[in-house]
Amino acid sequence: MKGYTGKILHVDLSKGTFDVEEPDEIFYRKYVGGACLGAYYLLKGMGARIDPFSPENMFVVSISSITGAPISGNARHCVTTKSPLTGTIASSEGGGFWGPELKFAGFDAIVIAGKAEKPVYLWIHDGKYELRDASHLWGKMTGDVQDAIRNELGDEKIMVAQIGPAGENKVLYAGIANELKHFNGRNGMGAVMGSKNLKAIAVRGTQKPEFHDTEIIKKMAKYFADQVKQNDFYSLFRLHGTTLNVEWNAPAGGLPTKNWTAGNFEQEDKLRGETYYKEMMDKPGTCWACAQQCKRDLKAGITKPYTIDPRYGGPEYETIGMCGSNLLIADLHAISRTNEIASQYGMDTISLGGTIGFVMECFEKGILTAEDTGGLEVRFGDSEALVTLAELTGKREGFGDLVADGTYRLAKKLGPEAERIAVHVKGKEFPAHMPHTKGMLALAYACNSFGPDHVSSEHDPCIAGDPVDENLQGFGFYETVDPVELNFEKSKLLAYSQRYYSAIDSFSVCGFCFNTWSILSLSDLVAIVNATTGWKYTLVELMLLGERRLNMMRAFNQREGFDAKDDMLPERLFEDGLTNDGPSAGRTVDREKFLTSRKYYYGINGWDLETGNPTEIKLRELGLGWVAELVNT
Amino acid sequence: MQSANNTNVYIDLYGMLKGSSGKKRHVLAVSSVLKDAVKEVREYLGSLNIPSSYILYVNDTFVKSALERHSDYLMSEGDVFKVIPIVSGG
Repeated sequence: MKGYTGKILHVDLSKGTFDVEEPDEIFYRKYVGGACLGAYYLLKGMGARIDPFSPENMFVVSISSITGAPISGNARHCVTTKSPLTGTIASSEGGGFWGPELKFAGFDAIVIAGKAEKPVYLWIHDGKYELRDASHLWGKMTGDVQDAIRNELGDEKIMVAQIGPAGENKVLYAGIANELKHFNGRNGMGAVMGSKNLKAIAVRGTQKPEFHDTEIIKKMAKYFADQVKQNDFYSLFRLHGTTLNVEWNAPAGGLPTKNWTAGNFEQEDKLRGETYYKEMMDKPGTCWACAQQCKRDLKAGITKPYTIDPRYGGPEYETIGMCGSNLLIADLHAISRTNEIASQYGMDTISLGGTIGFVMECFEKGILTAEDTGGLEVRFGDSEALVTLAELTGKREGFGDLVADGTYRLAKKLGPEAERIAVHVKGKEFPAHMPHTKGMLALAYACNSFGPDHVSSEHDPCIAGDPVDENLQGFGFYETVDPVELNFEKSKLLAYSQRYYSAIDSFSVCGFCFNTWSILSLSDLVAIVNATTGWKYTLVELMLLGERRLNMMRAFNQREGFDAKDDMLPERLFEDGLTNDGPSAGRTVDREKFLTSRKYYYGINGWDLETGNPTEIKLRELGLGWVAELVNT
Repeated sequence: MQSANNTNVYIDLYGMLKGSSGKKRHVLAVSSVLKDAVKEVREYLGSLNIPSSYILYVNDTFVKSALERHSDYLMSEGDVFKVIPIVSGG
């Protein structure tokens, strides 16, 4: 079998035992890897209503046939588990260098169950594996742990995926870091690892995978690298990365500001990509083999007002939005220091910024006072308070202990007035794109199986051009639609784009490299699948794969008791008109349009119109008859 | 018959659409009726070699929606067209 190692490592942390599964090629063809494989093992391996922090929660790390192919965008890996933040199945993708190293170390996935008696780390190298004592690493920052593991094992090239103290402390949105600045950031993956006493997974390998047609891979890799240099958009994207979103979202009045009460921020110019690049960077960073180089690497020597270690990378747009404009903070140094804290402790900056924004509004409204926070005033615009509270949260110290549980749980403790202004779905904070200006995201945030997510579907602008982009015409979108609108076309756009984004995550490739708006298209993704495996994969099969994974997630959640009532937006979005001037002034999400579009979305997916749950026919259509039986028993 | 080009409007370019000059704001004399003015703005953007995939707003209203509701709107001096690159995601 080409492209894959053909081996899946099963680890039982409770017993300290291992098993190597060698599935046949049809299994790989059906579930391919990444997010789809993760969903498969979670459904197969665990019963319903398991506590996310119990040893019964499964934890899957997976890659695909393409991972480790020497072409841009093939450096990612997926983590899947039951999220402690949402209570749903969840997956989180991470870039960097770890994913390819797992392939070289000889495995396509690691399926982890149980809980170690004391802190351990998993060491996998060239087909061998062992659990090693991590008691001496527990409590240490990610930078120190990476150094320690590499020293201990005597190899600087070992790639370490690890939790920081936030994961050990079970901060509900703790993440997993690799190379200190690449993350499986959202959904609390790090907290689950912490609950298992699993500090890190270290990998190193020399086993180069065998691919079917290396010439095609080389040709595409060269084409990609040439385009980054020649194409205006991609060379600008290399220079400014995701920070370009400030300039894309702000003109439409869609920059999240002051706990989602406004869409424009007076000082937004200070947060723009050009400003960031001039003040904070030397050159962009990258992931393994990637010519796009979109990562924000900070320059060395930043010491005032904060000393920031460039090893931890710099903030991306999401951090700038949620820890910047959302908090009325325009200080890139404070935002970068917060990013560093999050990298050291291993925390999701989106949920951190979302929760702190909620806290700041509670202060403004008198729902919280300094008496509640141990003397710490947490007000909009206060950079010092942000930095202080970020660190307290990672430690679960003082008021940080409450912030560590996220907006939903904190709001519940504070009462109805606080719950009214809490912005979350299924207990998870929103990313920095506003449903007020991107109508389809209202539906995406409400209906995504693991809560609000900005990289699980297209965004509305993709069908706002005149004419509509050729790639989207290929999916049947011929008419230009206002980005703000929420209607049948948007329901269809969500349903279809979730399928190919789901496929992108199942092949563990980067959506910045393979997408309808990237240098390489979805057809190119299919070509790379065939070049690595020798299959005759098609775009149709790609869409079916994505749909398979989406339905597995939906079925998992159904078994947990989730349905349409949980696919709902917070009242703030329906009731509180945005307070800024400009294009989004006074705007809310239209409740009736939302409810109608949600029904269209269920119908297009072949799900029950009332509950949003997959029908047995839909599951069987996707080869998931076994899932239908699981859900019905 | 097309109306005379006698109304000066602003065209604000965002992101990489500013091109190598980095110039955000342009001024263009357009016809007084919206539907003609939109055509002229698009032609002008084409003359700047701006590819046709962008989102176009007039006075903060999506142009297609503005044309559907008020195609015979009369342009005023200083009306603003915003041209935003299409990026799906972040």
